Amino acid sequence: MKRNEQRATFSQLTAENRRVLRRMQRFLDSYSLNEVTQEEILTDLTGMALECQQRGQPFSEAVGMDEAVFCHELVVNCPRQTRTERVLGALRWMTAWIGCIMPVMFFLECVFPWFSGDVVEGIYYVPLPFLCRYCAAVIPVATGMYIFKRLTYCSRSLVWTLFVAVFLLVFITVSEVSVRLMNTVTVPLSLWLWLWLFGGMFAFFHVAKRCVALTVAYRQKKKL
Amino acid sequence: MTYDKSQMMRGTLEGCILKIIRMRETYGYEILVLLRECGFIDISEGTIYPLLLRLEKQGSIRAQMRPSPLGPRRKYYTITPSGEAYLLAFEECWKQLTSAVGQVMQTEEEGYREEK
Repeated sequence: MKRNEQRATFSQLTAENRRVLRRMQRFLDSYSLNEVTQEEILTDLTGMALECQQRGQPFSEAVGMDEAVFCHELVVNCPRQTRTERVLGALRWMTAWIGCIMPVMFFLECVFPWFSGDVVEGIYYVPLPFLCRYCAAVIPVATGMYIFKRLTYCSRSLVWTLFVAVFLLVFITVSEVSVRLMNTVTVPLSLWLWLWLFGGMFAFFHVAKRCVALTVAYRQKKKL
Repeated sequence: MTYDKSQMMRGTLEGCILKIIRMRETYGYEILVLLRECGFIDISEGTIYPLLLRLEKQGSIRAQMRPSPLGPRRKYYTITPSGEAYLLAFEECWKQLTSAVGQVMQTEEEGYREEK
């Protein structure tokens, strides 16, 4: 409900106000705030930005200070993510990314039939080195993006450069090793089973994380 | 060297915001306008919102979303019993502080005159 309301308000904002809000969101992301609390704050800020816009005042002027300082002051008393929430968030993120490997490979196989293995009655016979290379590409990207999103706000270019360098190194190494060691091995994978498995896991982690976040936010309100 | 009044402002503004909310149910921008009318000319919504959020999180005020004539729903604030107690404590503390600071300032001037 809040998320939809926030999206609807956000779409009415000018490009400049959206940029300011996005920068704020990026900063808030790096604080690992409780999901529900962060949504509440963002809804408030979006509403505030729209009101400023309708008064003919730029949002950055209404904030009156550096966005980082403003966000830092906002989060002082806000609940952070609990350990359970963080673990569930990381699992949800990884499940989504790994779950995408198979559909992407399948899609590539359909578009470029010479690309990798064969598809027979929904079973995808994929060469093991190919699968390893894909996992080697997806897992560091997903892990890196997860850490990147949560831990950094400043020095983004430096972090990105390091991230790309590490990723390329891992990918090339795994690619070379896998081609040499398991060139002839082929693994049969059921596309539907894969989708159901990862789709189900993603849905479970998402609902569990949401429940924990709501419990933490609601418990704090109840305490007052 | 210019005096940085932001730290002093932050503490006193909390009390002023609570006082305004106790007078009537209100929202962020209206609080800002009232504070500006009272002489807090330098403050912006960016100063007010973190304080409102802080007061809300500590249970001194309660927020309720309602539609506004300008479009998006707005947060209207009311004071809670614990906010009333907080305001009372602030008012007492403020009286003591102003009297103490006033006395110190006066003593310094009188002492300087006597020495002269």
